[in-house]
Amino acid sequence: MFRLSFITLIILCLFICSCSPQINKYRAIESVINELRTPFGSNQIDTIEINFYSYKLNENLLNGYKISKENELVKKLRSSSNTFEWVDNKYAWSINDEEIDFMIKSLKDQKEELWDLKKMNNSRTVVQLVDLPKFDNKLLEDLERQKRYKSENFIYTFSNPVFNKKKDVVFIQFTAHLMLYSTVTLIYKKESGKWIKIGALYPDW
Amino acid sequence: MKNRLEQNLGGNNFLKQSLTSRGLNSTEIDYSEILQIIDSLGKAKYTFKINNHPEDNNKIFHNLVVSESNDNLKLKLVKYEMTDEFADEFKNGLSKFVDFKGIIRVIGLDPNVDPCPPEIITVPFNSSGGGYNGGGEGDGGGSTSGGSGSSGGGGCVSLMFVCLGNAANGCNKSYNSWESYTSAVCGNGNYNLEVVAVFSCRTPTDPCAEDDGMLGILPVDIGELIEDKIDDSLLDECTKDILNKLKDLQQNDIAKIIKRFDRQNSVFNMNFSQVPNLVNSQGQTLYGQCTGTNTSLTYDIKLNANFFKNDGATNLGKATTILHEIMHALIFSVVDNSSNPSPDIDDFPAIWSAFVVLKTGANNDNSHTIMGNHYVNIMGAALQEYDTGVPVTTGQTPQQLYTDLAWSGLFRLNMPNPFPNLTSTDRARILSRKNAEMLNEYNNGVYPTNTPSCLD
Repeated sequence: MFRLSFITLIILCLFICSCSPQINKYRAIESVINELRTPFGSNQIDTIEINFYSYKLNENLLNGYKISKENELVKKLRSSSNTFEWVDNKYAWSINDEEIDFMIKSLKDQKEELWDLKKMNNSRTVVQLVDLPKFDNKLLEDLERQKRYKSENFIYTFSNPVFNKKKDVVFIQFTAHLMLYSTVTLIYKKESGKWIKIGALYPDW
Repeated sequence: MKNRLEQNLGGNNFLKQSLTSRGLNSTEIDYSEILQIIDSLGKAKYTFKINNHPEDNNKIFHNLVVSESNDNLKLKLVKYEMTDEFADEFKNGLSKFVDFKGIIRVIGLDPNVDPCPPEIITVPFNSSGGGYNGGGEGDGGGSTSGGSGSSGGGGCVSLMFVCLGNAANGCNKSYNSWESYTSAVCGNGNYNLEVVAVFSCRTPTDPCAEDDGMLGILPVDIGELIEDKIDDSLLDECTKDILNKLKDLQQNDIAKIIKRFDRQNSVFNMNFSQVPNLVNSQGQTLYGQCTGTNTSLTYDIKLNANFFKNDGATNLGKATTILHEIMHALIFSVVDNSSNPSPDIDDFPAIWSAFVVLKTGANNDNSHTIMGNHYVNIMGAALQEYDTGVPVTTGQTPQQLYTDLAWSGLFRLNMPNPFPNLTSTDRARILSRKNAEMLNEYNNGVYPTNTPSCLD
């Protein structure tokens, strides 16, 4: 009896542990989606269309974080376009190199994944998953683009979130389909059980 | 002042005659910038820049100083001759003009009206070295009057910054060095800063002696120096031609843009290059990028060779990106030169905000709109003149095509809009315009202007 309970407990622990990254992933993405604003008018988004697939974050982004950090803190160089903007200076470059290296390593285990709407249960914004390839048709894309551009109704593709070892910092990236050079990278930190945005890298041209 | 000058001197002919009498036939008075300096006794002096003086070179420039004397206007031609060492330091941004080393020579403009010999002062003034000697020099440019003799020894001069605030805000002060200015309460960049020569111990012994007091200096145009120092050696011919055309515009060349946007007290350097697949350190595509270097006030401007190629972006798009990056360097230099050149102020929105605060004293919608319109009107006018060959009439707003391209440098996607006068429709159109020109293809409802990628 004791042996059975012990095995059950182990299985339960393994189950919880295996779910934890998924829970973190969905809670983090919900925070991003809930705060997302339209790119031009900065209006609240009530319904958002998201590509079925998430993509793997590019390692260059995380290496770039370290380069930008060194440029700013050590070399003290200004640049028009290669740095994060911090919500509050207390968060500026607060993620250390070890954490970044851990994230870079973790990218090896990442792959393109499918989003599961059922797991997005806390979202204020209504989320709809869409099949992006249907917009590959040039004519459709052009008509669609015009309509969506005017109404700021874009389709977003999100990266897989990348966590630090403590799972209290996450990098997430998204891009708005039909809009050039629209990739935005966000850094969130978990404080008092909630994910809050601490920094972002916006597109420049 | 221009009108009064013309009235009192009997029109431009008299002035022309005065200049001619000094052999300065092709020399012109620049009325676009008049510096008024009022000393503590309430005496006003007006300084004008002199263009095309035959003696002018990389060490020498001239001003015309006008003051009132017994209801008449007194006109003095002031020559500033920098030492070789100071000229190099000044042009390389290592010294401010207030640290001037060289010779100041003051003489009446028209020898028939003011036959006094030139007053010649060595700066820094050296009491044992005859810093105020006046002897032995011809008065340049083919003067008909005698050019020798002293105007009466003694006297000393120092150069200072004068902050053109007012008595109410306590910022009508002078500073003897850049450091003393930037460390002062008024040294936050909110007020125009001018350089003056202060004469403090002239000892008049003859009618030719001048009074003590201040006269304003309009040094050799910093914008021109900045423009001259642009390093374009790593650009292809096509891009070089576009940059050169921007330098040669009649009303809004790069030097004048710099001057109109923010009157500079320091030279800064820009090194241009073309880099294929230009991305930021996070791997995102860029049209252009301006970064600081390890050398003070020197900025590297990289242009993405994927767009800057013979069959790439339209030349209007290329000109827009080049001007935008130059404005980045200009704004960086202003913040780097301020009393708070914090390295924490790094990315462009933060730099822009710091610049707005420096110039307006506030960081609100209104101040952003004022500075945004200021930027866009200057950039837009330059692009319109570049594209059409016709300068924008004073007081007119440039056409929307050009103001759209100018605005494209001031906001980024997914960030709150700091310019309330721009609607989301405006922002979408502006972004599409920039992309259409840079990609040289239709983009979200906007067609490119069909200007070729390179100039003929």
